This record gives sequence, C-alpha cells and structure tokens, in this order.
Amino acid sequence: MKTFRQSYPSQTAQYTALIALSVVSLPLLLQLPALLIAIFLFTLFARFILVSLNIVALKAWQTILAIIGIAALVYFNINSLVGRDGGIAFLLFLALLKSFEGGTVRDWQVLLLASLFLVVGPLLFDQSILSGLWMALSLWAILVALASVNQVRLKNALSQASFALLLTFPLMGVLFIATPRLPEPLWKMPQSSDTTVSGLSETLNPGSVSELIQSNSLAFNAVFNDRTPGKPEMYWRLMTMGEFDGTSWQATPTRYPNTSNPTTDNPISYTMTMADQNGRLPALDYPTVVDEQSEKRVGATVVAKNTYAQLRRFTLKSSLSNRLPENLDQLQKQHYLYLSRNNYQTQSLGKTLSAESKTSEEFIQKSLQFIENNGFKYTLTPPKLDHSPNQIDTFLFQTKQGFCEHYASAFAFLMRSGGLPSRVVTGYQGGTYYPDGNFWQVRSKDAHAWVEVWLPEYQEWLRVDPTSAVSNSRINGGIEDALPEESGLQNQTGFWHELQQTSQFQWQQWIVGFDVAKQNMLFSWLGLNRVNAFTILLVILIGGLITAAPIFFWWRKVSRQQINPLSQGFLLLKERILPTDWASTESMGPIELLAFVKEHGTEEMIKKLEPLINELIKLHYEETNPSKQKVWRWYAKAKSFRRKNH
Amino acid sequence: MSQWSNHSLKPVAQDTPLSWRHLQLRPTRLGLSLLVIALAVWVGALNYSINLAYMLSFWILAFFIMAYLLTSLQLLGLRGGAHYHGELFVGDEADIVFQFSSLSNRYRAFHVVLDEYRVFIQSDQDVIPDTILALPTTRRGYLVIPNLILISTAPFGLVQAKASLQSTSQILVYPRAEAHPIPSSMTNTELEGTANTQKGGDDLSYLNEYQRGESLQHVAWKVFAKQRRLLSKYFESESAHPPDVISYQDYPENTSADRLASFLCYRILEAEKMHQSYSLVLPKGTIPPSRKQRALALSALSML
Repeated sequence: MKTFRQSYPSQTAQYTALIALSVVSLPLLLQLPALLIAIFLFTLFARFILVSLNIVALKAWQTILAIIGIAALVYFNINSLVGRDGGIAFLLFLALLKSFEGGTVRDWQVLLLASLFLVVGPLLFDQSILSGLWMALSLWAILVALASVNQVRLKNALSQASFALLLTFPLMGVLFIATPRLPEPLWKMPQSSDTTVSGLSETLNPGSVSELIQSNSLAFNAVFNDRTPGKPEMYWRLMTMGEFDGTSWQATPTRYPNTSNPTTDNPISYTMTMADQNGRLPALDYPTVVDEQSEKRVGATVVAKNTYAQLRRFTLKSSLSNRLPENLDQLQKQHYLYLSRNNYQTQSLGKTLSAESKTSEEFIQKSLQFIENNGFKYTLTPPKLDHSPNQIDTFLFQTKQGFCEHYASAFAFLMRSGGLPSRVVTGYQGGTYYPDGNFWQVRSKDAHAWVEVWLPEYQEWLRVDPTSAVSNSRINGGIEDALPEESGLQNQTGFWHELQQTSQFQWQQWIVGFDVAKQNMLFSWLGLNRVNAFTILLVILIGGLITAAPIFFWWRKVSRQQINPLSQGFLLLKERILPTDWASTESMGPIELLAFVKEHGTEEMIKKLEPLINELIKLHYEETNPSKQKVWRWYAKAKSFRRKNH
Repeated sequence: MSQWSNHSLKPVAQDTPLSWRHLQLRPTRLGLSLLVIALAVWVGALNYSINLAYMLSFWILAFFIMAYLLTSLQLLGLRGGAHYHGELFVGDEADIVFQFSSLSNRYRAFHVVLDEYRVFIQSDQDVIPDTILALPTTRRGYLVIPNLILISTAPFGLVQAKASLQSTSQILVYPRAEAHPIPSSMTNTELEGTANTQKGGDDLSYLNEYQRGESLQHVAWKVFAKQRRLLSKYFESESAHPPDVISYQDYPENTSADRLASFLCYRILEAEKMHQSYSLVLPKGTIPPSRKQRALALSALSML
C-alpha cells in the first residue's frame, strides 16, 4: 500500500505549488538574460497546462536529458553554473524541472523546499523594502502550497499560513536583534563591474555624468551628526582625475597615498549608509577623519579598506572648505600641468587670459567670466561633439552647450593652458533632505563634476565649479531645479513620496544596515553595556517571553475551547484515584467516587478530595451558569491534585 | 502500517477528549529538511552579512516551532471512536463508522489508521460528519477492531501528532449463508424447553428488530411513531404447528464446521424470512424460539 508521501496531491495543490514557484522566481528572472527568461516562462506555462490535463511525470531518461539541456543553456548564456548568477539560474531551472518529475507528494514537497532555498537568491542582489516584502510573500506562498500538498483545503491553507506567519513575526524579530553579527562578511560579494547605473566611472568623457542622471538610482543616505551644511557647500568628492589624453580624463589610482593636509576650522561629522563604489567612498570636501573601515588616499579621497558589495555605515569628519592645502612636488606639478597636443584654441585662450591676470585667482575669475558672458548653455542634451581630439575647442568655441562634465573638462584644460595645475573631481553635489527621517539622500541625479586648481601663491587647491557660471540653480537647487524638463525629474514632494523615502532610509538603517554598531547601540538603549553571550541570551529570553505572549494567549484560548473543564477535571481525578483496570471509570459519578475514596482512601486523601468533589457537584449540578473563572479555577485545582497525589 | 511505531503510545479510551499528554509529537522528514534549510540560510546570512537572509532563517525556525502547536491542535480536544452497527456476514464488508466530535469548530485534518487501512478526515465543524471505512470480512467469529491510531501532519506536514484510541468494539461475523436443498426437518417433540407460541393465531407474541426482506405488513407502526424504531410483529399460532427443527444432525458427520455453519445459517435466515418458528439444534445445545432467537442462533453459528 502506498504511503501518503507516495500518493499524488490534488490538482489544486499542484497549482498552488507552481504559483509558489512563480512568486519565488519573479525577481530572479529579472536578473537573467532574456532567452533564459523566455524559456523559463514557457516551460512553467507548459507545466500548468500539463497539470490541468493530469499529465504527471517525465520518464527518467527525459529528466536526465532535460538536466543536461538546462546546464548547457545556463552555461552558454551566463558562462557559469556556479557563483551568484550561474548558480541561481541553474537552481531555478532545476526546481522547475522537479515539478515535471514524479508528481508524488514527496516530489512536490522537495520542489517547495528548493523554492525556499531560492528565496535567498535575490537577497544577494537587493535588500530593499520591496525585497523584504517579496521575501515575506514568497514564504507565505510556500507555506500555503505546503499545506495544500498536505491535503489541507485551500481556504484553510491560506488562513493557517497567514496566521502562522503573523504570530511568528515578533519572535523572528527578537532573534534578529539578538543574534551576534560579524564585523564584516567572511565571504565578500564581488563588486559589479557595471557602474553605468549607480556609480561614476573612472573615465570621464562627454556624457559620462549626464547618462547617470537618467537612472536616478540611490547612491547613499547621509545623516549629519551635529549641524547640517547648506546645499551649495555639499560637494561629495569621489575621485580626482589628473590624466587627460585629449578626449577623456582618467581617475588617479587609489594606491597613491594622500599628501594633502586639510584644515580643521569648520568641522562637520556625518554617517553615510552605502555600498562602496569599487572601494571608493564619497566624502564632503574636505575629509579630515575617517573611521576604521576606511582610509584617505591621493587627492583627499576616501576608500574602503576592504571592498565588497554589501551595504554598510561609514562615519567621517570633514572640514567644510573650498581650499585644500597641499605641497606639490615637481613631478606632481608636471602631472597636473600636462597638456595634450590638441585643442590649440583653448590653449591660446588660456595663455591670453593668464597673461592679462596679475594673480592666479584673477585668471580663474576671468575664465569663469568667459563662460558666463559668451552665451554658454547648460543642458543634458548638447550637440554631439566630433570624434576629433579637439573636442574642447569645439565645445568652447562652437557648440557652447554642455553638461557639467563638458564644463569641468574644458575649464581644467583652460587652467593648465594658463600654467595652473588643475584636475577634474567627480562625485556628487547637493542631495535631498527628508525632515521626517532627518537624513539626506544622494542619488545618481546629484552626480557632478567640477575642477580643483592649484594656487602656487598659497600652495593649496581651490575648488572651482564652472557649472555655477552657467547655472547657479544647479548648485543651489539641484538638477531638477536647473533642468526640470530635460531631466524629467520634478522636485518630488508630497506625503507619499516623503513616506516612501523615509521608509527606505529607516529600512536601511535598522534592517539592511543592522550591524555590530547598531546592535551595540540597541543593547545600550536596553541598559546592557556589552554584547556578549550573557546579554544575548538575556535578550533572547526576555524578548522571547514578550513575543511569545500573543502565542501563549492564543494557545490558552484555543486549548480551553477544546475541553470541558469540569468533565476533563473530573476525568483526571478518576484516573488518579481509581485503579487502572477499573471497569466503569467513565460511568462513575462524583458521589460514587467520593464513596470509593471514603472506603479505600486515607484520611488525608479524603480531606483533600471531599471539598473538591463537593465543589464540582455545586458547579456542575447546582449552579445553572457557573462563571468561567470559577470553572477554570476548579480545573486548575483538579490538575494540581492529580500532580501532587500519587 | 508497519512504519508507525506505536509501542510508546498509550491508548486512550474511546470518547475521551484527547489532551496534551495523550499526544506523541515529532518532526517529519519534511520538517527536518526545513530546519536544515534554515541552517543553511543562516550560514549564508552570517557569511555574506545579509540581514534579510537572517530574517528568513529565523522566521523559518519560529515558524517550525509554531507548527508544533498548530499540528497538536488537530488532535487536541478530539473525542470519538469507531463503531459498527448491524449484522455482518462473511463476505460482507464491515462498514466501520468513525464518529468524532469536539467542543470547538476549528478546522481539523487527520488520518485514522486501522490496521493497514487509512482514511483521511477533515472538517471545520464541532461534530465531524461520520466517515466510513469498509473492512472486508473473510471468516466468521469475532472481528476485533484494533486500536485506532490518529495521525495528523496538518497543516504543513512539518510535524506529526499521533494518538491512539482504545478499541472496545468487536464485531461478531456471522457465517455466510449457503443456499442448498433443505433436508426434511424434525418436529419439536424431542425438544426440551418451551416455545412461547400456544395462544390464538392472531395474538401478538413478541416484537423483534425488523430484518431486511421482511414484509412491511408485519411492522409495528405505532411503535415506530412513538419510538422511531422499526420492529416486526411475531404472532402466536393457534395450530399445533411445532417449530421446525434445524439441526446439525441433518448433515453428514464429515461436514466441516464452516460449511455446516453456512448451511444452518441459510436455513435460519429462510425461516426468519418466512416468519417460521424454528429451533436450532447444535452440538452444545438447542436454541428454542424466543425474542432474541435470531441473534442467539447466528451468534452460536459464528462460534461453531
């Protein structure tokens, strides 16, 4: 005879299992190449049809062939069967294949277990609020399917799964808070090489920054620990670019040490929550103190000591200033003065303006005025520059339209032409403040490029933003103020927008970014100075008791519904008092029991039992509607008697 | 079901509400696999520092603990057992009726295992509709209904709750009636005992449970109206017809006990159908006509 696990589940159960697999697969599919998505969806749809036709299983040789085919498909599209992308794709298809195999209860249960494992996959890519909600939805769908495969009616499967998840949520929360965390991950996820969506490239070309604006993806959140700077002061430097080949600027490698020495006149402290961008971290001009996870490098940039893709918190201090003292040696000066053999018009202009100026600052001012007074336009969609090496000339003397990278590139070249060492700096400028959460959000739309010019008179770098000469509103208000229509980014306000961004921030802080520091902070708030084995157990114990309370009250209510306390209590008494082979235990009434005890029992037993039985008679036979408290109290006494008397 | 290890289960009397101490709980293979997955997810979360994965592993663990409570609720408070009503002959199927009830109308789903047979019951009412399991009968005599094992893995299949209900029922299986040419029967002159049949022919002698096949004209309808019981009237006979003698001695000595029982059973049933008075003569004694003669006779033949 077949066991239950060898039997076949109902059609409804099979549908729920396939739906659970679909829910789990959805975010994973978005990471796969289009061909794999199409094949997966087609195969899943085919399985739904086969279930409706009651067609059960593939034969063994068909299964083996299918596995080989899937492996080949995944490998040729992703070039791997292991690792994050290839491994997840392979597991996803294997899970789908499981639904074609066998068809017994056991097979569907294995499929659902595999689905549960797949839930982890997307979390490697994304831990946003949506991911969290999807995770809960997937877990719920899998539970519904498990119940359905276990022969539970669908409506009961839905309610039981919902109920179980809700009741267990608090206990999960306690364990989440109390479990110790490692200072940093043991297995670090490698950075993605694709920086076009979220990060700034290490090469600056015309269009490098303007392309990023469109994605508007989140770069980082920042909280200022004491005071908040004004938006025009918020220059978040990410990398400096000193090498120019005539068309593009190249970031200075981070292996070079920092030789600058920022002042500490105007300190400001802040914490950023972000994943580092290939090791680079943005910092407000100019960083003075970094935390233990990061360090300063060339050009007063900041890098993470260990780079990986997971989100974390960095706390830095900066001194708000537009000047950075640094003594440049001869080699450095040569590096920052290098001019390629092109753009001669610009070189000529630079020399002319420099000759007309008495000081370096005067030269800078004249150059800015040149931009301001010669009909330049700030735009996201400038005319395409030719492919010649004289793009700066074309921009400065012909098109006169560009975005920040055009102005920064041209201005830096102009400065070098006038004999002033200069470099391009890329990063972010400004941000959006959310008062409800008291945090600043910096997105890719805030990406920016500006210039630093070295002043030999002062032996320091001066920050110069040539964009301010064409669009002051960009610096003061952001891209949505400067180019509302071109950017497609209106200043988003409103309750829902604020709520969404604040929720996202709090989610980052307390869920995704819940690390050792946050745990220590929470434990201190609970009056526990340290996170150690004892305090963890204490939190689990107390938290567990608190969160188990709803479960306890629910359990008490439900279990009380199962029994009649007077009958059950009386049965307990009889079981304790009467011999095990007594023939008429069930039919014996309270008076008979009392008579039995008086005949066979000790004085002490009679003394304990008589009032108990008399109370039972009163509650059960004399009172028409005894109160629940009295009844349950009597039951507790009966249980206590049973426990204490042998 | 040999895989169920029931030796540690203490049977509970039927119709006793199941309480916590009557249950045996253990995780299923699926449940253990779930725990392994939770552990694997936790290891991944720890190593990659993915907080959402931590949440997932803890949620699975908390949920597994919850499954113990939910599964035990499938059986807690349940009371009932197996019953059989009516006559049963060899070759018939014994319709064992499982009747369960509880004080609450929460959803329950469980299996009742009876020897190697299993039936699935689910309901969200306090009185669970009767479920019938047909057991084949192959020989006459007592058919002992073994202890019932109640098993539930609902709702999710992660934990198994088991309880045992003591069976107090045993069914007497009557022999199969084998049609054959009836040998001529003896009269009652040699019989001992009396028959209660000496008064007027229309006088009611006794009432007995209505048997399938009997004429509806003989049904005591007034009794039915009052008590909702179908009873047949048995009348006294004025004539001196003595009861037919149905005797084991009517058959060769080498007739097997089973066959003999079958033959005698046939004759009894025929006599009952025709409302004929009879006496049954068996090696160990005689069963004269009486109110409960049918039951007594068939029982005696079951134990022949």
